[in-house]
Amino acid sequence: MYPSDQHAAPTTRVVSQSVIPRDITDKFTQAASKLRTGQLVKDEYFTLFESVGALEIMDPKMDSGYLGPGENHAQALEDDYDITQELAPDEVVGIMDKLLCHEMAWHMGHPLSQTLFTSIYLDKLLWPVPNSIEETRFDRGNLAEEKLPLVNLVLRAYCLALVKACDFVHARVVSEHYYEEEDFVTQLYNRSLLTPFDVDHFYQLIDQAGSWVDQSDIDDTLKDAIKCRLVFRRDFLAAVEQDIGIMETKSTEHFESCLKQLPILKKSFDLGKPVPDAWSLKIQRKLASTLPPRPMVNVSPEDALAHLTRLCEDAIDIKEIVDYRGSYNLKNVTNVQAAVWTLLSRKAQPSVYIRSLAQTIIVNDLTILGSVSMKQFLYDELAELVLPASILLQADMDETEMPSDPRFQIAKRMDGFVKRFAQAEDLDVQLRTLSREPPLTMSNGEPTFSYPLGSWCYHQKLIQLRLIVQLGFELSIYAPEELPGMYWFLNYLCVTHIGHLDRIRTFILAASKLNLTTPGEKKDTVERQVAFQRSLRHLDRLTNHLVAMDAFAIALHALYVLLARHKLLPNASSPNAYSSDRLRYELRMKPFIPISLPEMVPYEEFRKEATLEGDSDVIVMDRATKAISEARKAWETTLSSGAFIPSEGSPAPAIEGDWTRDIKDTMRACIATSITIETVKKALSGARKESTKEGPKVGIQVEIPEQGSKSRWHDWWIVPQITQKTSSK
Amino acid sequence: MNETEAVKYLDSLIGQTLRVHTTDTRIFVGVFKCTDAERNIILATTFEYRFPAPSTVREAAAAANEKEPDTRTNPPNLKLDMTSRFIGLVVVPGQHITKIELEEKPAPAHLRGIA
Amino acid sequence: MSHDAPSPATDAAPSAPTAATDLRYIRYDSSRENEYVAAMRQLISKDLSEPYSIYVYRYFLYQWGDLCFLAMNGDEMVGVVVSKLEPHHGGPLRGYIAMLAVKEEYRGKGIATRLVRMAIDMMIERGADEIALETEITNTAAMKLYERLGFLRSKRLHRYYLNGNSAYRLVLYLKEGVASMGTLDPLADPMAGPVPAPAPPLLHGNGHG
Repeated sequence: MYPSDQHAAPTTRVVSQSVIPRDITDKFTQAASKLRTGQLVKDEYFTLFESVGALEIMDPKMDSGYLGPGENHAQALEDDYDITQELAPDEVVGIMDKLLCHEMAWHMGHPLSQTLFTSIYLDKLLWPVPNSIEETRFDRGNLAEEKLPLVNLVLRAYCLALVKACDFVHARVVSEHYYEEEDFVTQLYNRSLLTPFDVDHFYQLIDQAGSWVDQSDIDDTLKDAIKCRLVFRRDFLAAVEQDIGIMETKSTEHFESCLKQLPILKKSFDLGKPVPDAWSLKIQRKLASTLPPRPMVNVSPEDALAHLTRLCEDAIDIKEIVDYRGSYNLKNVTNVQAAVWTLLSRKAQPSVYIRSLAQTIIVNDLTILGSVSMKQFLYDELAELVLPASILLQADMDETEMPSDPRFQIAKRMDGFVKRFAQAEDLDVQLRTLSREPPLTMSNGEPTFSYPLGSWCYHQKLIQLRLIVQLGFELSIYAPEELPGMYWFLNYLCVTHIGHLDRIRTFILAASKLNLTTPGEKKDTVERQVAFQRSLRHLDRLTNHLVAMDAFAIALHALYVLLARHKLLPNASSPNAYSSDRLRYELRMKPFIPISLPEMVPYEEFRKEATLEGDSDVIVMDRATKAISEARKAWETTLSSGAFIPSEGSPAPAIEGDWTRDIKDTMRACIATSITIETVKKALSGARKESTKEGPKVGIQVEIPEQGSKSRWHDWWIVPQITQKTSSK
Repeated sequence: MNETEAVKYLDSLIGQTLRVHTTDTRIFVGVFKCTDAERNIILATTFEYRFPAPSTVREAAAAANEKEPDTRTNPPNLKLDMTSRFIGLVVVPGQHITKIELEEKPAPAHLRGIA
Repeated sequence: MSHDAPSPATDAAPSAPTAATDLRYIRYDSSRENEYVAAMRQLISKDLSEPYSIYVYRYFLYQWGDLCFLAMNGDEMVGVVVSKLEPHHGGPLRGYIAMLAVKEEYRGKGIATRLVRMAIDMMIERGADEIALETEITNTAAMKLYERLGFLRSKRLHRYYLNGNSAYRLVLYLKEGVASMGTLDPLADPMAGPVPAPAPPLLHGNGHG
């Protein structure tokens, strides 16, 4: 409820020298006392709604400057901690590790004010804002490095390299358009992360510190511990400094050397001695912030290291996406989508930094993966799916400047499509006269055209719609009683999509036939034929995956219908709820209403379909059994055809590994569904024999497994958990 | 002062910069937006000012003396001596207010909208 | 906003020191603002992590005091629901349940459900098309309460609260055709573009109608 803190706060208030404050306390108080209870005097443009965002001063929950009872006013901003004191080597290790924990907490999404900016050492380096690298000293220049080199050289170098790494990470995230504000707090509270200073200074300092440690008489184990932390700092700084360099160098060496240091670092965690006084929440009182005070975040060394390890691994695996075009020249949207989706669906979710880095690498300066132009990338995709060997994609405006030339007209329209993705179907109508596309006669005798651009858009749209539904399962959005209907809807989307791919296939087959019967250069004909075959294979792959999802959705739909019919499915809503099934259906379909295609299914039709009205239990059971067996086969095929095209010798082994795990989890869910169907079948047939006056007695209980629980085999495929009812009543 | 006059007076302050002092000796300087019978004051684009710790004052004074001994003759500006930070939109509850000041620029009255 | 009222699924088990029959349910009375608001603030701020200034209460009570209901045991306020009702982005008339709290020792008696029903009934009387609210994902009791009343989860709001917890938006449609009512919301079409992060609690979806 507080205004977004993302906007840069004013740094200083400009006060004219001539301003004169006049005491109005008495008059103000007297005037206010004349107001009635609840009467407000306010700026007419200032609404009560805005006032909701105001922080209440002197309220400990809202006022970050509030001093608690017993806190000394003179010490409001100052800590007793002596920044110039000597530290033992184990204390330096302790501080370094705590800093790393705070750094990772920031990466995980906590604000700097609750993490790194609670460090008194960092505060001294960063505030007041240093004008030169020389000023970035704990003591602000009073003492030389020769005094207490462990603190003033080694710890300082570590701190500075850490801050500079944060600066690169911060810059990477804010340079991207899309990131979740809740996942990463970019607010700097009017501090600088040493942005203006050249990174070479930082490497030099780390190297100096390293040499000093080497020659020092620190005990060997501690010496190694400190050394390994400095080496890690240098590598990590280099890694984030050169993060998008992998597009050129294909090298992930810095992240790899970071990874090498981490086990050593972990082993020496216990050597560090905590210095709790080196951290203070009082620093929050000095930070420019429109947010309430928040406690210090404590991330354990284990969690911090786990996060850091994952971050390095993810950064290394991003290279597989880059390699995609490198080794295989596969500028294929489906592949890139699969790779990116798989990488970013890793659990736990890759950090915001990694997501931002992936975005930068995928699209930077309208170039995909650092080498393919956005337009070429899209053209390759269109060629693969809807326009193999088509004149539409060969037209180039640069080659023909004659507006009367159809190729010029085509190029102009394609350009419009690439830039806006808009009016695809209108463009299709214009393009087909230019390309002289012959219509196909459908079974009803009507001539029909291929609408390639519209077809491609619809294909993408259906993917998005399906993902919205599937993410609903993943995020536990649906109530148990909605599950039959939602799996039916998933089935409906898959069927629609399969039908759409069939339509595309029909036109490609026709074009391929036309190619063979049209006289022309044999070489060209063969080349075109290869393109047609490639598209057909691509369509088969996509179709098979959809068939697998469709069959699974049908099976789960039928199973849930049976459970609902026999009142075995838990209900979130009570009989005297304010809502009705019809209203709840409307609410659930709201996101899809503005979309004209596929058309929204009217409630009555949905109800009949979703409840399988008119089908007996036996028919429904049979439907479930057949569908799940079909699903198992189709998922086998999906698995064997691999994550990417071509499937052999994947250039992205780590990402393919994740993909395979996901498919295998789906197959496990399939098997579990088979078993569940059998169990329910038995229970229902047993119940028929044991009917009581109140109706058949079904001796089972149904639970919907929570996300993350063991019996939730896959986030998207919720298999109901059946337990035998203990015979009590 | 009756209610009408009271409203008129408070209304005349809307949009002006107030310095609101609180019981804990902080000062909040911001644009006056709203108040009520309890003197709960809403300030927008507020800066918080706090008296620095005595040690900082001593250090600053020492440093100032070393560098520019002549400035001792001028009374230091209060604003320069206090630490400040931006905190945005705040409500200062009436019960914690010790003093309210209006920042006035020595401009002709008619320009300030005060008759 | 926050809901910490929850009566568990079984609204039985009188465990509180006071018999439920002594309870009175009343509507907020603006002439007793000082007394009521102080008690509400105390009741609500006790358990909730989201801090609210006096002006948060004013925002709701000055415009929608008639949608605020209190559970009283004698002179003691033991439960409160605070709501509002206004057109949502210029579209449907949307009720919003902003705060719900019941004193800990009075929970499990159905007080929260009763208060919410009073607020919903009043919103229906005033022509509400739909009702929305947010609740912390971890607050299963509150989610159960609202889901029993027919609310559906419509969105998961990642790290919605200041304490970093996520929330679900729960929505209840009261009339047919609400989903198709025009709003001025450019994001109504999920295909229109990337959806930005939701605004902080309270502000979200409750903007200037």
